[in-house]
This record gives sequence, structure tokens and C-alpha cells, in this order.
Amino acid sequence: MTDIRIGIWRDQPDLGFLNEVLAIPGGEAAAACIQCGTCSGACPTVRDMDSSPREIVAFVRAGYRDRVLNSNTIWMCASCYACYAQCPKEIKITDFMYKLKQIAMREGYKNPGARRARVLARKFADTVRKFGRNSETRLLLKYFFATGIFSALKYTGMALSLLVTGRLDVFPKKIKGSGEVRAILKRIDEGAAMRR
Amino acid sequence: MTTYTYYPGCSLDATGKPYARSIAATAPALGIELDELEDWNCCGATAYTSYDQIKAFSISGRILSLAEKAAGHGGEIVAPCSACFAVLSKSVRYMREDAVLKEQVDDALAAAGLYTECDVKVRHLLDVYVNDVPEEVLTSQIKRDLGMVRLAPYYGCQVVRPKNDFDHYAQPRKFDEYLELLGAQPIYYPVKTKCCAGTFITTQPEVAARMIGLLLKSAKDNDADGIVVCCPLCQFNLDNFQKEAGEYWNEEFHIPILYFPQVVGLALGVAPADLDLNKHRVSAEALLAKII
Ligand code: SF4
Ligand code: SF4
Repeated sequence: MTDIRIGIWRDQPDLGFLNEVLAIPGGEAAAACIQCGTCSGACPTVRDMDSSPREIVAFVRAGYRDRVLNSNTIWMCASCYACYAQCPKEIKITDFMYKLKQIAMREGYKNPGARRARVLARKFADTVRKFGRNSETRLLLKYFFATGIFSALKYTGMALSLLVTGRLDVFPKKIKGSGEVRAILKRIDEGAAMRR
Repeated sequence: MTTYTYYPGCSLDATGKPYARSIAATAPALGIELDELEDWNCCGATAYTSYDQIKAFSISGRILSLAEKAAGHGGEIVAPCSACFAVLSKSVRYMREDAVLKEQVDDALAAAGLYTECDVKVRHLLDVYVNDVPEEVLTSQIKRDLGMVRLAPYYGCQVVRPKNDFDHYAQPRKFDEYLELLGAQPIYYPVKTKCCAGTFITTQPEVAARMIGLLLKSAKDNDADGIVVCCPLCQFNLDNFQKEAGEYWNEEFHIPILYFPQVVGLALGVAPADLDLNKHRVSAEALLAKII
């Protein structure tokens, strides 16, 4: 007799992971998922995902940590809220995706889709910490330098067009309250260090 | 004149300059005075939220705290960018609903001597233009007939989602009706609330080309002369990647992407250059030739 318990059944539920994910605002609603697939049907990038949003909700609920955090799904989520808006059980799927990105980034999960998203998020956070504001162009440049010049070359047409129309702005304005922003961020880092 | 506390957001100083200019050229005529929130910081957008949730809520917390001082408790804050609008309104809602989250944010804000009650109402600028300006104030000032142009209203994701009071999350109508009121022909095309690919232009360029192309193709197939947007990131993506999108779909796209105040300005008789209509990547010449 063949063992049909293949694939997902090999994952072991991880309660710590489950609790952390369900702790997002409104997260407990995941228990009410009826696996209808409306979220997957609404998702503009589902065809690029290795697990659909519906599957991700099921895997999260089962506590399948590695399966979820290794999937490219979380990096293929464009945060468009289409799933969230249409879910009949009002499950905040987009917020789960955000939370899963944060955990995967924190724990250094290596997924081909993850690196670029991680670089972008880090560069973004650095600029906000320094200036209090952000400049998309500076962000793009830093991002392109960090991820390789090839992607930068691909976008020279765009950069030129922004330059001639006066829309290229490399330095964000530094706000007076940038010290406040840094104090806020520092307080959170200290709190996180204490909890660890 | 109605005065609003205004949160422009980072894009309006850079890639979104034409948006800022066309707002400045139209708001006063409609009785909208925008009073910029002093020393505002970045809202965090999707990139920060993906990185650290508490930090993202806390930096929006600083904005809410400043807004409460400027607009008063129970006052309103207006954002022209859909991402800022979504982040700020979500922050207000979640912090009101989740005591644990609120406590963490309170603690972080206290390090800067700040506190937020989370009792301001966050509104999108499109909502203000559409709902707060009496119809006759607008129509009595219309000087240019836009009747010849077919425009695709593009809502994108975050002005209608997560669900909010502005309009229906999947089948909104207000932007369509507004274009009609301005005298243009709004077209129906089925993807008006589909995602513009957001930051995927950097992280997933191939997927972005497909997503952007889908919107352009649907507008083109329905004979749009232009697409009208209410968000600087949507404008940036749709305007700057028509070549890449065309390569994916095997099509040629030359569709001008206009900000809604630019269309308002055209209707009010403002010169196109004063609306920065010459500052986009895809030229709006053909569209302008139909009405000027
Ligand atoms: S739409 Fe909601 S209920 Fe349906 S599968 Fe997705 S998360 Fe579950
Ligand atoms: S928020 Fe993410 S998962 Fe949900 S529909 Fe949009 S892209 Fe798909």
C-alpha cells in the first residue's frame, strides 16, 4: 500500500510560529477560513506564486512554518488588498503577507524572490531613519547599486526622462523632526532587544 | 474656502511634481485650501510595513500626532497619494481596534515626547475634490469642452481598499462620474481597480511589465485617449514602463497618464504647461490636440 501522506503532511506544526502570525491585529479570524478560494481568484499575481493565497492561509493555520516562509508567495504579494477586500470571512490576508515577509526577513530565509524585496525594504528603512523622509529616486539608485548594475542599465531611459522633466530628486529633504523619528525607531529596537 | 490639513507625502516633491503643480493650479478655484502639515515625515508605505510592522505604525503615529495638533482632535487630514492614504487610515483603524498594538506605539512615540489619540479622519484628495466641492461651483467654472476625449478612470488599489467610505472596493463609480461631470467621456474597462504593480517595478520587473501592460491594453482596447490616476506611484508605473509592458504583450503603447487635477485644470481652462502636462514621459499632445 502506498503512503499517500506526502507533501504537506510531512510538515510539523510550529506553535510559536502560528501564535506569532495570528497575533497581528484581527489575526484570529484566520480560524474562520472556509477555503473558498476567493482570495486566490482576486489575486493579480497568483499565477506567479508557488502557493496560492488560499493555500497560504491553510498552511499558516496548520503552523507549517517552513513551507510558508520558503514559498515565493509572500514576495509575490503586491499588497493590493484585493483578497482582503473580497474575503467573505474578512480575513486580512494582505496583513498576513506583510507579517510573513517580516518574519522571513528577520530570520534570513533564502528565497530567490526574497533578496530583492529585502534590499528594497532595508534601503527604504535606512533613508527614513536618516532623513525622516524618502526620495524615490535615491531609493531606486541605492537599490540598483545594491542589486547589480544590469537592472540599473535597463532603466536609464526612465532616469533620463525624469532628469529632463525635473523630477529627479536624489536627496530627500531632511525634516526638523528627524531626531524624533530616530528616537521612535530606537525605542522600538531597544524594546525588541529586551524581549529577546 | 475650506481649509484642510494637508499631508503631501514624499512623491509630490519628486516624481509627483506635476501632481503638486496641478493641485496648486486647481484647488483654490474650487474653494479648497491645503494647509501643509508642518515637518511631516514619511508614512512608511508598503516597503516599511514589509520590514517592521511596529516601526511602520509608529512613524505614521508621529504624523497622526502632528495632525491632531494641527487639525484638532476629530479633524481631518488629506493625502493626495493612495499609498499614504491607505497607510494612515489603516494606522488609525488598527490602533483603535488593537490595544496591544496601541500600547507598543504609545511607548515608541513617548521616546519623542509624542502621543496620538488616533482620532483624526484620513481622507484622499480625490474624495475631497469629488465630494466636498458643490457641483455648481465646479460646473459654473468650466471653460473648456472635454467632450471629445475618452478617459479611463484608474482607481488602483489603495483609494478603495481596504474597504473604506469613499467608494465600493471592486466596482467604484465616483471617479467615472466625476470625469463625466468635468465634461469628458469616461470609458468602461474592466480593470480599473487592478493593481499597478506597486514596487514590483524594482523587485519583480517581469511580473510588473505584465501587470502594467494589462491595464494599458484594456484601456487601449477600449479606445482610451488617456488614463487618469489619483496616485503618484500609479502614474510613475503606468507612464514609465509602457515600452517594457508593450514587449510583454506584443503591443505598442502610447497612452498619456494624467493626474485627475490635470483634467480638472484642462476643464477649467488652465494652460497645459501650467499643469505640467509636458512633464510626463508619454506625451499628451494627441489628447490635447482634440480639445485645444
Ligand atoms: S477568501 Fe477568505 S475564506 Fe476564502 S479561502 Fe481566502 S482567506 Fe479563506
Ligand atoms: S494583497 Fe497580495 S495576496 Fe492579496 S490579492 Fe493582492 S497581491 Fe494577491
